[in-house]
Amino acid sequence: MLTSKRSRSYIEKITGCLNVPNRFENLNGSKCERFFSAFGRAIQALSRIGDEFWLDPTLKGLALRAVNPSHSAYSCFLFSPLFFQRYKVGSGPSSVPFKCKLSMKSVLPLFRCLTSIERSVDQCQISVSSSLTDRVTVQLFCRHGITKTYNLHFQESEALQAVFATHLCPNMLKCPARLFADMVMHFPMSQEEVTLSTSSLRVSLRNYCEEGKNHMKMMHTQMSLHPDEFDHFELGEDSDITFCLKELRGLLAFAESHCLPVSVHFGTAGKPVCFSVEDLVVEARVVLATLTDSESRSASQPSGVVTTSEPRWRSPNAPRPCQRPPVPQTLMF
Amino acid sequence: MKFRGKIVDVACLNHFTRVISTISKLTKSCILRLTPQHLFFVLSGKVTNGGVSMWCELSQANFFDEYQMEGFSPEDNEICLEVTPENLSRALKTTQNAKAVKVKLTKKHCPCLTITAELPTLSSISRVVTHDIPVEVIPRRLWHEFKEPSVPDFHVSIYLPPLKTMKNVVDKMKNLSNFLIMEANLRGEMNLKIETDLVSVTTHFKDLGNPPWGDDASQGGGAARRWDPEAMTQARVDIRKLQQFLIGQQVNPSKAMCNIVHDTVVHLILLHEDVSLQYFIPAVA
Repeated sequence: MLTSKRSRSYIEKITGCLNVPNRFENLNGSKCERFFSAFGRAIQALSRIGDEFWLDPTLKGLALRAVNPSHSAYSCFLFSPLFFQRYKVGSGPSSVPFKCKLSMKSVLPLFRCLTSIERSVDQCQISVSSSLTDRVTVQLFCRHGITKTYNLHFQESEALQAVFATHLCPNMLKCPARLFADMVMHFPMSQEEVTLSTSSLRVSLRNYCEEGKNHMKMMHTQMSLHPDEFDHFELGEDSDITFCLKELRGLLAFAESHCLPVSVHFGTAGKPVCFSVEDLVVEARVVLATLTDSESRSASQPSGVVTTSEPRWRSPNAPRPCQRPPVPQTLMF
Repeated sequence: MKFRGKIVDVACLNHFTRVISTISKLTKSCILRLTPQHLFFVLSGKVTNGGVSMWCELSQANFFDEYQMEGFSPEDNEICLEVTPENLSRALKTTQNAKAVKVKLTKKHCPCLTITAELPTLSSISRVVTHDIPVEVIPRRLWHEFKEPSVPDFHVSIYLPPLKTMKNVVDKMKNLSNFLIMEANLRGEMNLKIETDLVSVTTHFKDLGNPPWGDDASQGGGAARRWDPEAMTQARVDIRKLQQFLIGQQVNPSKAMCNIVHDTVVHLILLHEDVSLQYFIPAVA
């Protein structure tokens, strides 16, 4: 519904073609990483955020982005061209954005069982050619000469971009993904929100219990550790932030499977928190809204996810991105 | 009322976790009775839980390195709590490599069993995890509902075949019927049987042996003496209840046996050196 004739015309000029090798000798030639599973894990991590995601091939690399329906969580994975065996972005005018939105439901089954994919798939080719149809083609070249081709319809839609200035955050933590895994393993998978408290003496994580019905019957769990356990610990001001753990788990799993350190940039309650990982070929981040301390929100507060209305926290009535007009959207963080 | 306990030994912690996990598979909620020497997990046979009852006895000295308690009063030196074993199990599972685990009765937002674990790190400073598990304190006047059940006057008592084998059989049978007939005699034979309009399936076990209960009349056996050793006694039970019992088994019992009162109840007993678990499944017509 978002495609107009005019916009289709420029899409037609652009074709993208990417090859994801399953096993790929890193540029340094030192290690052999399972790159295809990295790609699959990124999709899985994004599926925790939203029902759809944006595929955004740029000269800087292939970006995969997702935002949740209430616009309180945003995630982006950027695979640099070096990640791919071959990476080609069509020769259209560089200023023209090339954005396609895919439904998670149609893509996720391809990457459901990563271990079997790792064993059977030699190469994966993802191409976007919209000369005839709005389709993304994923081809898996498997053992014994089997080729699986998936044609996935996409909607043309401007990708969301969250602008979040990490350098303005007063607080920053960095630690191996393993430490984060050790912290969150004490909470059940069904745990929605957790509160991260930081002071110069202690860092603690506890489950957030909404006041009300089951408050009394709920199990309260708190995990605390010493700041020295973090590789990097920079604290401008003490803070207590509450954010959604479910939406974060995907990124943590991604970081853990690739043994990457996770950085957390955050401020005080009500301001968003950003979890990020990066290595030579991939950058990933999740930006989450945090609960405000009190009901009264000062208008000057520069934080938050601008697109959501009151109540900011996972509002069911918040407009879904697909219902918005096809104008460049920017989420300000 | 006061209670605090500390487990340091990894093997004890592991064993304790397995016991709790077994119990959590059997029931959503149960009563924890703390006495100076023992811990009891009790489920009394109410209609709401399908008439199933459970009695699990742990000797505290075999699990806890420190154990202090002060009961309701010096005469009634006991604490009786309603707990959710699932919560206990979850808290203990994530603290398997802890240096020490403390369990304490606390007053937080409500009465809680607080489990505090000190987790090892690479540095010298430990991590601390605290789980506050809400409990309900059972008033003294209701304690009588949670007494140890007496061994029923069974017709046949028999050792069970390996529980894993039994589980496989029961799992298959569950696809065919909701009810299972357990049959046994005093010649060491047991049958697991289902009967529906379309199909009858029976699995026969033999040479299982019958536990010697002695002549003590109070231990039951009165009916057993009058029972024809060749004759099968039987009880028809809800297959899900039996399956639940078999699924949860994480404690490798040194002895597993079953007492059947004809058409009345199936009484399953697992004995381990420091744990005993009894489970009663009522027969259905």
